[in-house]
Amino acid sequence: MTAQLGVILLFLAFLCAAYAWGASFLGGRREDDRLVESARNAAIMTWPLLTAAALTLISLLVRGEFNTTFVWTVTDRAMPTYLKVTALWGGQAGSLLFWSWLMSTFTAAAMLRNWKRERHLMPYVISAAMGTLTFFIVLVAFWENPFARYWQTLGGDVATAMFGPSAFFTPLGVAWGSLAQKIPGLLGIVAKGMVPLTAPLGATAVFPPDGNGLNPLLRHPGMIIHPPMLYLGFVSFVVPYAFGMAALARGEVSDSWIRATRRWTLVGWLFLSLGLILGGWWAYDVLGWGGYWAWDPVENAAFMPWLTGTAFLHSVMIQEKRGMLRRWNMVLITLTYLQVVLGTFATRSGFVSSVHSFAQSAIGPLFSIFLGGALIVSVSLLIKRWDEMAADNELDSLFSRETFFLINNLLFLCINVAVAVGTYWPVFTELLQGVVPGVQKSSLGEGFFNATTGPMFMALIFLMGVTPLIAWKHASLKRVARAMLWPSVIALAILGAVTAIMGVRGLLPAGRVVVLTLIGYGVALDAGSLTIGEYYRGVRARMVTHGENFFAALGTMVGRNRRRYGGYLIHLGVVIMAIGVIASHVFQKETQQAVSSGQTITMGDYVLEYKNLERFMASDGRAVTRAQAVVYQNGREVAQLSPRIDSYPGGQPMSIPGKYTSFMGDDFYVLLVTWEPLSLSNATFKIYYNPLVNWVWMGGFVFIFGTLVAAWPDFSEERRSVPAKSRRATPLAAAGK
Amino acid sequence: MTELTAQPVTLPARPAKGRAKFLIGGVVMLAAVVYLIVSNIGAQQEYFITVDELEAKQSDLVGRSIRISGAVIGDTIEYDGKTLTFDIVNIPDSAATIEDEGGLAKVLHEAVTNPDAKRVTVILIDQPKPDLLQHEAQAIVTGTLGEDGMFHADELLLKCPTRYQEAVPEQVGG
Repeated sequence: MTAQLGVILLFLAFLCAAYAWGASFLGGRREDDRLVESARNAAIMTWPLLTAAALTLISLLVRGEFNTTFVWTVTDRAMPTYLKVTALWGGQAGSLLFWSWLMSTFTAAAMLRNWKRERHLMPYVISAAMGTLTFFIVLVAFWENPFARYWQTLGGDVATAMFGPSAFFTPLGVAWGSLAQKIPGLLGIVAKGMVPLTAPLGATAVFPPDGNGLNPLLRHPGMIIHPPMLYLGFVSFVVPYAFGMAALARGEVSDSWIRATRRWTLVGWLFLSLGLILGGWWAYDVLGWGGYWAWDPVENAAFMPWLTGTAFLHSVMIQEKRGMLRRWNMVLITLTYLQVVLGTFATRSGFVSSVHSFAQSAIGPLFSIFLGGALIVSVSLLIKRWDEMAADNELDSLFSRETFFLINNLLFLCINVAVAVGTYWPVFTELLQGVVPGVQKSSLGEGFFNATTGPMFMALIFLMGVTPLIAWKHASLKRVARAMLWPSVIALAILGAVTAIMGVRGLLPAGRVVVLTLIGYGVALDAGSLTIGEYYRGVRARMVTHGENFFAALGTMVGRNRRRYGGYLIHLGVVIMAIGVIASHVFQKETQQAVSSGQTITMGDYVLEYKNLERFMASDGRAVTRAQAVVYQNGREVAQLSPRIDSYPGGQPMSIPGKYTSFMGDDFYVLLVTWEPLSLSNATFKIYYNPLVNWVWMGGFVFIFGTLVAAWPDFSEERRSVPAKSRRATPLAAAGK
Repeated sequence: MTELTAQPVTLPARPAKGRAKFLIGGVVMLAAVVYLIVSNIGAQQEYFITVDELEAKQSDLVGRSIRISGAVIGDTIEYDGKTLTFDIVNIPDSAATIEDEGGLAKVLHEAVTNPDAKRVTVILIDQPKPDLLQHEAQAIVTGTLGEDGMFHADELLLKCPTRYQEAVPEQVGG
């Protein structure tokens, strides 16, 4: 009975969302408060309904109800309970339900939080959010229903359907099915892809004794946390988009929607960043190719909204301070939203080949239709209000913070374009093949992404260091140069020292690479040093004027300007990550050798001694082949590693690396490649030496911490939000606004 | 406090000139980015070719960066810890064709059981034998066609229509 309950909950959630969508839109047009309030209640109602639906699915998963298709697909009896719970997002149908639930949670929260203050925008906020939610619930309820069950037909086939056979509904379903067969093209695929409501007449429920089991690759802690983080990020960006569209629909394109959604944007950005970083960590830890970022289409799909979202976070500051870039910000949030939907779509539909996309299905065309609709609505609203969104101020000078922010924005967008070109290139060329002469289906590899985005990222990191020193409106070159002097001297000194040490030890690469590497390090160190300099200047000023000690000064300074100093912490995190990325890219070494027991492999200062190999069955049913090896650095034993290969019954074996991390954060990363099956005395290892790779994770940690500092709710600010706002404006007024 | 250090300035009346400078700056920047992207497309493009096409146009293709995809023949996988070789057979290159012919799993199965299908030997050196490399897997390899007629790959991507995707319980299969 539980599965039917899930279906009914989904249908109810669909009705609520669709009603809220329509009623809020009508209520907004007719200025009918009662209708709007009823729409709001329906919108909030989706949350308990979807919560109950998700809990129903979790209970089916935990109890091992293999009669349910989704449960059979992603779990088996041997899996521990926590994995059965997280299997909720281990497959397409469950992921979509989870996505919808998060979306509903966020919109309900946004409505409760901003209802009074942004009352005038609310009708259309509900429309935009519920339009999106309705689409996702439709997908879950009618195309990817996780509650569908297995039935055995009289003919002996296995069918899936939501409910058992019914004398009334089954013939209707059969009629619909034969009609769907006749519909040509995309619509036909869509129609044929629907989950039948009722099973064929005479069919009986099937209860498989055990399930299929979760893909072993997804049984890693990184993979348990990584998708929800990305989804949270995706979903929270829907809120600022909904507010933006509401502002356009209402014609209230002032800055209040930006203020209302500032924190939502930061939260979305926090989760998206966290998701991306965790994804890299998972890849490095589990996929066993020695790297963490491969420009895989699915990674890119999450990275692209992050890029426009980051641009948006920066450019809203100009709108807040100077009343400029209103159109630009609207365009950015729309682009972010569309890329969020495109991102989920690209991940789900498998239309770009990727290592981790789910199988192809009918939801591809549905996503295209939705995306097209959202694009048309957004663009027509933008056009309608274009003239009303004129800026209050002109750009005063080329040498001003505004200009630098603008360049920053353009760079983020250009990186986005480059990533999009690279990601969708196979799709473009496949479409144009045969249409435009000379075009042949082709793809662009990692080299393309590195070569195009590398220089732009360097420019961004440079701007990141310099921009905080540049004043709004008009900056003085002399002042900026003076502020840059000492931090840059320190950065250069560090760079010189590191280069000298590496040169002496013979570690510098030859030719063009060395120049590029040094430029990269110079830029990163300078940006880091300038950012620390900003902290230093602020703290010193407080210590002098208020007579506070260092820590008190730091505490008050950051506490009073959390967005600003949190932002600088994020910048510092980026610098640390950049250092790790460059080092692990340029200086990575690898080797692969076969050794027999007691033999060694030498790589730089390190020696790996192979001891022995053992094979055993683990308690969760996987067969483990584990090598024991000892790592020596300069003749001293530093670690014992046990790289292993796990084979789940019926699944593919996977290599789990053994890692030794040095004091500086270098990784000696060892994979067991193959072994001699009988004697177990010979084994082949692949070793990667990844210098400073742990700086990527360390930088990521600083980055996330900085975002938390910036996004943490400031309750005192909210209570007296009006006076606080006017106080913030004074420095500008003083500056001659 | 950068905001506070901003100089109170009287606005000079020169927005028109400023705008022109901005436009020029923007155009120069965009041109640089377009150049960066276009030149790298030229340099980094890897052509998708089917095994059939590889056979037909062999002489033109030697040395060019190409990407082929095919079904892996399990019996031909050989690995000595250093050199990995295996044969792949032709499958259609477009996802739509594969869908029309009954899905990836079916296409792969038919390819490996068809004795007349064109095949090519792929060789990789100093690479681990990937976990997914098995009979009837789809291999996507990037590299160059050597004078020896073998495909020298430096990247190998595998897709497996495993039991973890699109399956129905076997227990009730009939």
